[in-house]
Amino acid sequence: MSITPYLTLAAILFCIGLYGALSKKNAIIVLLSIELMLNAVNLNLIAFAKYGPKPGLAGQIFSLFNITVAAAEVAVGIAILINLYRNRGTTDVTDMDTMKR
Amino acid sequence: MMHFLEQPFGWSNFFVFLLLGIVMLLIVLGFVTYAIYFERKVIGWMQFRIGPNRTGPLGLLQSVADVTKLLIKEDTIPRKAERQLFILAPVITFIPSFAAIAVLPFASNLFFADLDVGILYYVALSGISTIGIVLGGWASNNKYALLGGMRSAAQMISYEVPLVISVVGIVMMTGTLNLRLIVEGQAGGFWHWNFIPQIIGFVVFVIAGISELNRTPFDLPEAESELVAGYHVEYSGFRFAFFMLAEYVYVFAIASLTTVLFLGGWQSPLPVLDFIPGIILVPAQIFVHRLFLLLAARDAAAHPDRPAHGSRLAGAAAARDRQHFRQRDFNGIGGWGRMKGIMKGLGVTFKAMTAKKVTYAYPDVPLEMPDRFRGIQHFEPDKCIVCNMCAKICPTECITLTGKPNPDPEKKGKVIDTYDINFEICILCDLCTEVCPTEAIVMTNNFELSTYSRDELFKDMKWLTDNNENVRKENNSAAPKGGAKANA
Amino acid sequence: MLDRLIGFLSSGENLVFFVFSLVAICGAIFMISLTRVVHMVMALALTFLSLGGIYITLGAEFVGWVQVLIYAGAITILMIFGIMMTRHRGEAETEPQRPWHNGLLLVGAIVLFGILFYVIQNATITPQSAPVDPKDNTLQIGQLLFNQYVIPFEIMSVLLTVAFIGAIVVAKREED
Ligand code: SF4
Ligand code: SF4
Repeated sequence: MSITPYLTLAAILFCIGLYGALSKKNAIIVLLSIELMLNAVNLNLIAFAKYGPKPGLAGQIFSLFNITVAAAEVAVGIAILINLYRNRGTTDVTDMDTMKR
Repeated sequence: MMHFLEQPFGWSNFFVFLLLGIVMLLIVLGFVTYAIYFERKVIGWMQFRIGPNRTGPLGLLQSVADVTKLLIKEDTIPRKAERQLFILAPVITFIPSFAAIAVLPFASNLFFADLDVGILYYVALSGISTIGIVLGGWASNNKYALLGGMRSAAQMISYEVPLVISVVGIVMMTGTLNLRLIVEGQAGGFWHWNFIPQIIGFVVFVIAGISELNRTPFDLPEAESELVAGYHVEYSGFRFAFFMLAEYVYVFAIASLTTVLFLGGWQSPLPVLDFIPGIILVPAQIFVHRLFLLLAARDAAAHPDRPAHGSRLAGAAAARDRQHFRQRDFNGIGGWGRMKGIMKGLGVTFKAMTAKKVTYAYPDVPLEMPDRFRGIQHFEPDKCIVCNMCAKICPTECITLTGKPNPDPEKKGKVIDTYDINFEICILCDLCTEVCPTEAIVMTNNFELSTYSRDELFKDMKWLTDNNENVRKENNSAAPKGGAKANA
Repeated sequence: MLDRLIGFLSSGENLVFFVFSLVAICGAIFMISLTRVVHMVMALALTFLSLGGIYITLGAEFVGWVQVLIYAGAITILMIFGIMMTRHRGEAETEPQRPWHNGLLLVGAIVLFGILFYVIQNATITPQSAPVDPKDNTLQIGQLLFNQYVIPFEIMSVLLTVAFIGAIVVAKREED
């Protein structure tokens, strides 16, 4: 087993996540897509930690940090979303354009 | 077990694992069955009742019967429910609960998985169960279910944090997340057990564990008084059984986890007792811990949430307690208040356990009716003079009687030939016995008349004559008639 | 081609990888194509779970279970919470009214994938040392976290605290 299948899987997931993040209008789905992209990155990190040029645990530790940041990001994201929904009554990202006007 | 885990995975191993898994499933099912039975008994005790006592000796088969009933019940899916998720939710809840058992070590050589991340594995899986609960609540398309699901998720997630943090101390002391190694670190008598150095962690773990199980002081998710039953209102039949099962499997898991983490697992409490095989010790401890969990948790039931269910004693205390519980519960704090509530509840249970029960074990122990009770009549043919008074006075005309000439030619008058009472219409008004001059017809204290056919309610003379138990001792006709006369 | 696939699948690790990656990709694609928001979240939870499985096969047991705990457990539930707190009109994602936009995005994503795939296929990554022994790397991770990476670790804890307090403050109603 080499690293290539893992990197390919990560690339597939990343592209799906990218597409979802940019095309979906529901803010929750956009957040989810971003999570998917982060996961793809984590997969890369862990794959490199095992099959990369310098195998070691650094990759796993980085992915742990990544997961932590992602958790914080989701918590804040959902909080902002709920607040926005309360004030504007929408979760559609195309409606969140007060800064533009 | 270790040598099985270290072998390469093949068909023979697969079957061994499958077999062990099935055995474990059966053990857990048995545990769940008797946990429910036990719980119902305890609730019975604290409410001066007997609890299940009809199915099997001492009611031991009650839960078996209940489960059978659940399994053959019609499986309803609300029309407006989200069908796929509704079906999926109990599965999502149950599978992790059973999978989580795999890491629990039962003896130094009996465990199903030797994971380096045992604790993490348990916590991760129990988190997945929560998804099933939320989904079930959401998919039911029912406001109560949704509220129950949301509350349950909020509570389970928020108490998972203290649950995990309370274990961190042990992990740092032992230097491993592996449950088997944690137990091995506690060898050599109960003073080496983790609950002594980690007493705060222990207390936090027990409280958070109760809350994780949604058991009573923390049963906001299914608070019956306000949410009907919480997330599983719409579930019936075997889907409901799955939720139930998952809940009790977690009771098992948390109890065993407490044993393994804090109470020395299979290590015997005193070095002298080392001869006791560990395989007995773990279940014993689990049992003791569970006893506490249940007594404590269910007891507090009488306190904060369900005074209507509880005895009057508990209810009165609850009325007072309830206010401060309500105020704090939603803030998710107030552990001390809860502990106090639990302790009070325990007191109530132990007091009520030996007290005289207010329920009767009815057909086995006949009810003591007051002597003036108007039951079904007993008839004594020898006393009857066929005066027809009873048939005449009967308001519903349910008495039919015929006389025949006295067989003894020397005596005048008639003797009774047939005497029937139609209990389909008899209102047990007592007038017939009141009016009878010879007390040939008297009332008894019996009242069971139920039959499968109306025809059997038509009782003849023989039956009435044989109905001679519990005859009312003092008949009204024998007592002085009218209060005024007696006074004069 | 087929024999290569069969050869690839005959090893246990590869088979597990194949199954997990299939589930992960299916979950991700369902996430994009389903219409109801809760279903989308569930599909993605499947992806997260199978990624956790892949991490475990990669010898990262600890990270794998953390992935299950944080992603499949906590984040999924948070998302479901978010969905329940906000109403979604008709519960269904409305049809994209921007076909051009989406079409271009699709093309862009596929092109990006093509480039990545090309690069991955052409790169030669040869481990300079043998893979680390996966046995009990939980302990080693712990030691590394508290020695070499202690400063990022502490910063992370500060970040978490700030984030959660921030989340509570933001989501709190003005009145209370
Ligand atoms: S109890 Fe009343 S209704 Fe019944 S048989 Fe006697 S008189 Fe009739
Ligand atoms: S009133 Fe008494 S004595 Fe008279 S017929 Fe009825 S049962 Fe017989």
